[in-house]
Amino acid sequence: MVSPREEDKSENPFYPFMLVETNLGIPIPVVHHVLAAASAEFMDNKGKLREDRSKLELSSRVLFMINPEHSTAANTRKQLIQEEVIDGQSELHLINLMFTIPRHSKSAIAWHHRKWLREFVERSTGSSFDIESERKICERTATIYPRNYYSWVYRHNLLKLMASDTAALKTEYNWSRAWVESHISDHTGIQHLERCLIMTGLEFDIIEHWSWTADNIKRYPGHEALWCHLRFCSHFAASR
Amino acid sequence: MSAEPQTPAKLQVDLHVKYIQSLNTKQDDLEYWLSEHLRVQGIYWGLNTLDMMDHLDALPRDDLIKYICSCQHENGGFGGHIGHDPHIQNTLSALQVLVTLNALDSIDTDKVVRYVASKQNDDGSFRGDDWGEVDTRFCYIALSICSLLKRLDAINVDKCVEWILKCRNYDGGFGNQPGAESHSGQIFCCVNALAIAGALHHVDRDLLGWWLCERQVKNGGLNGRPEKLEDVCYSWWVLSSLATIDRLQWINADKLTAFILSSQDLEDGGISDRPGDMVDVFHTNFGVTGLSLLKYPGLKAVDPVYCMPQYIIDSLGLPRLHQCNK
Amino acid sequence: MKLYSISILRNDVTPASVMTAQYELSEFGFFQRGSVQEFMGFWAKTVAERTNAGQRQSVEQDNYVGHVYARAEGIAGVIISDKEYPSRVAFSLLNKILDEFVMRFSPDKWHNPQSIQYPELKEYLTKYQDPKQADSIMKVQRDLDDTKVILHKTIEGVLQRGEKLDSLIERSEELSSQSKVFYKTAKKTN
Ligand SMILES: CC(C)=CCC/C(C)=C/CC/C(C)=C/CC/C(C)=C/COP(=O)(O)OP(=O)(O)O
Repeated sequence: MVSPREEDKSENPFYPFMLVETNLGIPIPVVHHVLAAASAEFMDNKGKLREDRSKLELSSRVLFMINPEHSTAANTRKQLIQEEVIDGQSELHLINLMFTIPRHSKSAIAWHHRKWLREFVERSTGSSFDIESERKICERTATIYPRNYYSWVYRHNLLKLMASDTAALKTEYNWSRAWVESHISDHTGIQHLERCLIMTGLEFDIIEHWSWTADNIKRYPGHEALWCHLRFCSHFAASR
Repeated sequence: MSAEPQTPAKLQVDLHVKYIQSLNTKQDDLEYWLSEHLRVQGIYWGLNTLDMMDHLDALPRDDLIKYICSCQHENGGFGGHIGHDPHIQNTLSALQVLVTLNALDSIDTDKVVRYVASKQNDDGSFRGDDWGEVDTRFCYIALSICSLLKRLDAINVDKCVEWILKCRNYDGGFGNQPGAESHSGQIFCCVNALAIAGALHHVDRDLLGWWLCERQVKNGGLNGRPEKLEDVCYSWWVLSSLATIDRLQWINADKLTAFILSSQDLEDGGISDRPGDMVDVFHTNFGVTGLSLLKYPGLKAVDPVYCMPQYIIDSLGLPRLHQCNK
Repeated sequence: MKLYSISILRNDVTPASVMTAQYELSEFGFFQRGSVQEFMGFWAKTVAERTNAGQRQSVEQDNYVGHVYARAEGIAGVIISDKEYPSRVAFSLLNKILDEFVMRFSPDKWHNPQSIQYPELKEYLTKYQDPKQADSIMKVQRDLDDTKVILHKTIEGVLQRGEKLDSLIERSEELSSQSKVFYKTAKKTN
């Protein structure tokens, strides 16, 4: 979302919207007009029976895209997915697009929508989701919105899917360590490392992990998150 | 700019009243449309703030009741606005508004209880609506609703306690589901859900109290988790949890009071997340309820478990599940 | 951990002027990058003008920190990073970069930024995203510990009495009207 540029008025066929390269900009002063119109259209079509779902699809898309916390729009889209009006893959693309906006990438409702979609697609097609691309979206959202609560919770849940795959867990552990080294005040990211430690359990060289933590504390003094992790390590070691 | 709070102004009661009254008239604001789905919760925040400041009559009672009732669905749940899908979060807010206005008789409360009970999973957790999101927030909400309606018998409280305890972390805090990071907002939900369930003995008060009081940062404000920015709303989530476990004295009350007061908009009223930012009714409510826990003069006492004025909870005949407001 | 910009300014004249600068803003939204860059430039100038020769200052601003080092020769280096980036490393880099800069470009070139070709700055911005890469420079520069760094919790701390950031922004000529609007709405919707 951007501010409008009066000077664009003459050259830009989409004015007041902006299309630069492949990026669409909606100027802030017009957003509420868009929302008001979409909201009216949405409510108008929501109660209707299934003749023409395209208006409902379009208006719910606008509402959800601009405001991912609009749970009624998100619910309607789930219903439209069940009715096969919306295709699962394209919904995934929509969520990916929404997650390029930092504030949107921390929406509880949007992350639940993604989880629901994943489970729905898996159930209805019998094929499982690509975990790698799910990890990528988690990494991207944790980058553009640091300490993104729901993104990390989503990633924890992916970890549960790998529970029996030691190699995958090890890879995730190494990835998390590298992440923490470059995000040393990221208490949320550190939780993920802790999840990995707990899940791999006894196979861990806790002494080595401990000294890695201590090294980080020395290198980057004054970060609460690292001290919290040290507390976790002593708790973890004691409980073994 | 997050300027250091100088000597902060007093609580601007009149301005805040005006601000809350003006909320429904701002249809040209983006915020109005972005919060459409939150209207019922917004009314609870606004009305609760007014009641805390002893201005309950600043909003038109009958219109509010009518509006709230029009958000109820056949299944008993409430939507966030007319035409919006039901969700237990809005259901709690709707109920809080009706309780505050002493108007519970305008709805069928049995239906509400049935709606809430239908959202419990076998493992004890609660779904927020028909689409299955699970979160410790919803446990608190379910327990709070059933407790306000004196129908805790309608749900499986023990199972719910069992599930909440699965969401506890080594640091004494709670996350939104098992394995998730401790977060002050989720701690509010879990601790007070346990209080309602009569299960506070499961909480290690010193361990949790320590984590909570470590949320106070240099300028006096509180954050929601380690190394995040302070925010006025945590004056409520953190303080009320501390109050429930009887560790309120562990934070510096003067500095926190100053931080909340310096987050007021001294021209148009309302309180923001931190000094200089734009105000909203959510932060206005939690700033004021926070100040009430800090015993700010002129405010009514708040019940930390229900986030409503103490006199209302007392008048419902519900027990005080905490040690404050003696 | 993130370095957003490194810039070198001359602050022996008022207003201070940027001689060379590099930015890494990929984590900002596409339409915001222009304004963010303008703001970082504005911010660097404002602080460089208010830093005396020989002084080192760090100024926090929301989630960002600006590190400034002004040299006796009348130039200043500014690094803008997030709060995780170790300030000791930032100042070691500034030291190294300014040393290199004064050796490479004599003062008679300073008034003409077009004549200053310093492509290494971009490489540094990339390389030192990982502060460990600076271990070797840090070893050479032990003496840095002896110089005190003044830390300001807000930019108001470096402004003169009576100066207000909002009015500096309002009056600034290098900030486009687009960026001024961006600043206001970003503050509002934060
Ligand atoms: C009756 C009352 C008062 C409440 C009803 C019960 C509810 C809905 C409680 C909400 C509790 C709450 C605030 C939970 C926090 C959710 C969460 C994980 C937020 C993370 O959001 P960020 O935007 O990242 O915030 P921080 O940066 O401050 O952590």
